[in-house]
Amino acid sequence: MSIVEVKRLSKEYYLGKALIHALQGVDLKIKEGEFLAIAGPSGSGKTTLLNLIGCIDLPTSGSIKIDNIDVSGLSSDQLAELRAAKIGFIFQTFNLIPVLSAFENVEYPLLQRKIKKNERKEKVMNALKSVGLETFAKHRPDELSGGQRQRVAIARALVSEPKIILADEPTANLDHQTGTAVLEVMKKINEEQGTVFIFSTHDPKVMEMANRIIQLADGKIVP
Amino acid sequence: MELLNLKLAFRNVFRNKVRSLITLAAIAFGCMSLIIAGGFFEDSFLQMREAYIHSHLGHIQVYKKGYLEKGSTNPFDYMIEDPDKINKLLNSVRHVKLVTPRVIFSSLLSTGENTISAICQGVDPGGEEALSIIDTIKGATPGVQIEAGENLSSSDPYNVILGRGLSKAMGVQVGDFIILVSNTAGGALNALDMKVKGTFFTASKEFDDSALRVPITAAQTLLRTNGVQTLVVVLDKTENTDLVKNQLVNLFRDEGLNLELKPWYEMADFYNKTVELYGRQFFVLKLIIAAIVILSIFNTINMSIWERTREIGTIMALGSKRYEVLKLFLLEGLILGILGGLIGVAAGTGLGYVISLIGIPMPPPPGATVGWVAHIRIVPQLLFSSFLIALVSSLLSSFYPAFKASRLVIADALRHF
Repeated sequence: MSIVEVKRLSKEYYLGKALIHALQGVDLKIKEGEFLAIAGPSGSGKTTLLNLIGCIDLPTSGSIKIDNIDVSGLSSDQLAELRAAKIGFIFQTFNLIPVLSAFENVEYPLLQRKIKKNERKEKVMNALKSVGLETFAKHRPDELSGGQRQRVAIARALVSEPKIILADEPTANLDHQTGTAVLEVMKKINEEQGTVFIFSTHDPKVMEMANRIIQLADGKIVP
Repeated sequence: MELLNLKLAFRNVFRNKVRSLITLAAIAFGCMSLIIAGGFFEDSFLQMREAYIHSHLGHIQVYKKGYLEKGSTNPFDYMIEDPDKINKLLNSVRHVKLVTPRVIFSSLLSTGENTISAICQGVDPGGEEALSIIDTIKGATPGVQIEAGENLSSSDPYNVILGRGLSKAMGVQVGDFIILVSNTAGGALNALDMKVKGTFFTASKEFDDSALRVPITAAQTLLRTNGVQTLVVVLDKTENTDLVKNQLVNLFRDEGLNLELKPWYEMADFYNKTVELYGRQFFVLKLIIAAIVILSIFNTINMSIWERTREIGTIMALGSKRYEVLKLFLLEGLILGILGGLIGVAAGTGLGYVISLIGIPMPPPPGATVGWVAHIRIVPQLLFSSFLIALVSSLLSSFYPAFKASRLVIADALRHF
């Protein structure tokens, strides 16, 4: 069964006066349990595709189904609820909230839902434990290394037990060794919890870890 | 959620300390300016009000019914014939401190060489002296002050005190004799020889230029009457005027008394117009200060949003709804407003106290001849309204940037560097 189903998806936007065809009629099905890499050079449409699947951008045409829900008719609040319930995000630049501690950053997505404090604390600590950072709970992002920050971001993506985690070039800002360690954490979660990971990369070594690789070029999937 | 939002907003406010401190200073300064300006006006109005009340108006004046409408043409048709009984009744009302009778009539004053028409008040010397004391303001000078010579006394009925302007116009000095001429209640002409015992001045130049006072017994002798026209009522506090006014209206009705009354504020036209004028000016001042506060916070929040665009994208990607982003930034504005307002209230109160210790020497206001020392009168209502203006300005100025932040396309916000 498909957890993500994308049909004839296109996205166009203007960059100055030039019309950019970021995605052109992409069809894609992603099954439960996949650890999927979206590969391709810069400007091939990787981030656009991830943004559209993550419901943080709107397509020009085509349709997206997340866990069998067609997202095209949803309001911005309904999309926010969908994201909070089913999608986790990991960003290239980590995007932690600088004034919150590691614990509070991980706790943030849980606050969108009504979960009791004790249960919330347990979930946050478990998430931090699964990325090996339980002892850094009280640290603020500026007291953590790049790799640690990305692991906090993974814990944050993970904590609400989403079905899908989207990661846009998660290792691009990390050195090779740290990047590999971060990917190994992701892989382990994928294998143990069955969370679908969809990540973009142009690092061949990162691609090697994926179950499946989708190649994008000029906004189209390369067969 | 609420607690973390509050924590988040609080920490965000102090993220850029210098910028937040400048904003807080702007809000606090605005709030403090409102308190100082408001306290100054408050004090000026109060001093002016009490000076008018205690110079000659009293808090409430009681007349025979019809006097207010027709008394100026036929003053002797509207005399209170049994003033002692009414006086006793008025004194029994709560908050009434003093009741003093008056007879007011037009007269001619003559020195032999000069003759001038003037308004003569026949008064009870002891009652008027008590009326002129302003005991609600610390250190206030009496409403009627003797400039030269002495005040009237009951033991010496054929004495007169003249308003400063009137005595100058007549060219008389303390100790001189003048002739006071008037129509009696029956319509005949009568005259009394009076000795000038002193000259006085009040807050009203107009009054000082045209009025003289004689003991009421002399006035009644001159007019050949036992009645009085006015009973001037002085209260413990000016704030009780309306309360007592209503009580008296009911009392007159219940007792079947043929009396009417007028509170001080219906007689103090100059005071009312001054308050209206300065009140309008103060309103404009408030608007200007609010505009400064709004612009300053608008700038801070706008800058803060621009810097945190990617963060806004992140929290929305994590499932925060648009109104929650709006709420977060409004909360930051609210925190700045509360803190700035509190600092402003504290600073305004402190500065107001220091200024009041020194006092601001003021020139005579229009229509008056004496200067006065202004203070900063800080009342709870002023502190509250200044704090509220700081708070509302802060919220208003946060609204547009916060709204803009909540409308960002998440993918665009995440691309922001």
